[in-house]
Amino acid sequence: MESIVDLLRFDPGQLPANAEKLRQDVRDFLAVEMKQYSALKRAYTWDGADQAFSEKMGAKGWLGMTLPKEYGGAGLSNLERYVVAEETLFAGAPVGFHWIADRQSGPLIARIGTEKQKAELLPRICRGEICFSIGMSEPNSGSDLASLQSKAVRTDEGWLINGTKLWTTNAHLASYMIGLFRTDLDAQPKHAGLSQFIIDLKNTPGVTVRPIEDLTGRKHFNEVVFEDALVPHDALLGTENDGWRQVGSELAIERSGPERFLSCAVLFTELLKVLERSGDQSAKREIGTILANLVTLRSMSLSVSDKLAQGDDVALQAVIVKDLGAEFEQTLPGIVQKIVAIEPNLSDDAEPLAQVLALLTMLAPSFSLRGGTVEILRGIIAKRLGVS
Amino acid sequence: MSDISSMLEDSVTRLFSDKVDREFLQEQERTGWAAELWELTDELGLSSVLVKEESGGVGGDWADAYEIIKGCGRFAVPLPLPETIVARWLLDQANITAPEGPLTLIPSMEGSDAKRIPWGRNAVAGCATQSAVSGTSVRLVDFTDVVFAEETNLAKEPRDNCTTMGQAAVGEVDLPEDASFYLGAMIRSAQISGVAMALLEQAVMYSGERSQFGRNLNKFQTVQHNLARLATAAASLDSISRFAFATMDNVGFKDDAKTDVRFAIAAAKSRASECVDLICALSHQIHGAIGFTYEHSLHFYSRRAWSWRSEFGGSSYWANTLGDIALGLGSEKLWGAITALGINEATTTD
Repeated sequence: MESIVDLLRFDPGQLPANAEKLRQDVRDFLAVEMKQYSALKRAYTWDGADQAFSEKMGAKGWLGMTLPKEYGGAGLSNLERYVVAEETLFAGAPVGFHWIADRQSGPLIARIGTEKQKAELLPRICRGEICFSIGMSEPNSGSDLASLQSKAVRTDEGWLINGTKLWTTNAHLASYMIGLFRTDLDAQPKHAGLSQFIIDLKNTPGVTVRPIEDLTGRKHFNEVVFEDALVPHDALLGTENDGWRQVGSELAIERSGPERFLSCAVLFTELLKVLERSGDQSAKREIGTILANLVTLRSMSLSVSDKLAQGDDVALQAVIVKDLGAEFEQTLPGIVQKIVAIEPNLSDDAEPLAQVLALLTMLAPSFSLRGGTVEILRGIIAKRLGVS
Repeated sequence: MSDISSMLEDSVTRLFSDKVDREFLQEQERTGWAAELWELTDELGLSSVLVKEESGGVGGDWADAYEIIKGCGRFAVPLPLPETIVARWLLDQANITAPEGPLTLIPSMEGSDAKRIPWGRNAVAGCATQSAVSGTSVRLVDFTDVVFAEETNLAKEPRDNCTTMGQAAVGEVDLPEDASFYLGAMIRSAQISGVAMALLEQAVMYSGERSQFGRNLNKFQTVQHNLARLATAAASLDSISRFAFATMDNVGFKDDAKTDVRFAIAAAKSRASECVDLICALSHQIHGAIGFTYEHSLHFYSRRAWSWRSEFGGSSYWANTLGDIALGLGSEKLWGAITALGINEATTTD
């Protein structure tokens, strides 16, 4: 077994030489585009979606940057994408429409998709035209994902899908879902016999998308019901019954990116603005501690991205980034409360900090749920330490 | 990882895991100076890792030095090896010939009054950067005739005071006056990173040996999750400390503490000091009462961590320093400074 010291090694990530030029271009673009966005709107970051904004990013060549050039991508490494991602997140840009497609659906299709799937979907992802959702959780399968029951049965006409997906982010906006379904009902162990499908949500009879109101009152996640929904044979993504492994391969990039510690970046910025205006120095120590954690998390996230770009297996390191990142993001609203005497307030004429604090206080519980609960993550870490 | 790094990591791990065990540390705490171990590190040239090859050193960089210094933490090495590595680098910068033998850094000096000098009684000389008429100088103080008021830290490592300094050699350097203090903080953050690894390794091992309620501790989910939290903290310390050392290589000391290596060092030591409570508490909790005995080896690591977190500035000091950086840069410039941190301008502008 690999030694613990080697397992937990985080070499400094190196951004390529062209990264800072790219970063400046993105900043210049955002300086113009973000003018119209209030602090509250910015606070949604990757929870906020705006197709027009995504299309502008696509026109700049900043979506699908890691995808091959023949499909509209830029053929660059994950590190260039990292620069664009962290800049848009820190500015609080509404990246939700393209986020999942750009981060994982596109790269997954490019890696294991058929020629037809690549030719049809990748150029549109790169242009910011289509939104993707990921169909994983079900009413009776949350953290215990392998117990999922929705099934796809092969018929002469195509795959017949029945079942329900739950908490599917952006399914109401998405043109497609990449969903995980049971294709071999008798397979043992239970994570065998699962397959991934690319489902056209807009044009498949038998698919019903029902938005679910979250505790902030907005509708961003959904229940997606499949009732004898027939999808073509070539909707299968990758290899039949190999879905579990395919899903696993997406997770490192899903879990280690800058969105795992920048969800509250706008709150930090608004806090600094308030302290600047008041000249209050008394919170220096708390601000310093936040900054230490932010710089630490960025060093970890960048380290993982660099290793991903080199093709290394960083599943464990990604889990560590997500675990620590969620803890950091979740504590920020409380720290702000300790520093500034302010009441969270979503009213239109409330102070920006009060609005942002209100939103992120309520969003914070989701940070340690989405992309793997903290309990699941710690179980994975323990397993890799050899103690489960 | 460079060839030197990996070679150094191997030889450090081999030497220290072979020599520095529980019996050795108990014996050393009773008798004092580990002369033989020092000779062995000297034979490997470890203290000269940053000295140029033409001056008889290893010619390594700070990333290489990190492997040694982290190893000193991981194995609770009772020697001023990290201090000597930095001192030799400072002397090299100042064109002062380094004396043979262990050296140290003087954390603070007012006139001839210096407090809590690490390993003062064992070092042949100590050095520090100081403000001089035309910038900064490195001051190397000969300890041959210095009488120390002996104190120790919680791990019984010498931390000595003196009121009369010996003869000093002085050389000018192109460094900020507080460079030696920052470098002291940087080595302590690396040592804490190493000690975190040891606290984790011990806890993993113990939880696999100790059985209660008919099963090993590591079969309990609560214990597994505490080990995971400990691993996550250890990983974060490795990351930020490595980052600080790499920034020393790529950027070093420039004119502005808000944008040069001092920002990275402040983050590393702040995070390291902050994490000490958690890593010690978790490892001790997993060990139960046996870990609270002198007989068990766990305290050789936790007592070091509890002291190292305060040496060369503790959580409060470094969090305040970082707070000054954040408020000094302001909301408009802070993010730019974070993303620029560690980038060598010379390589990105061509």
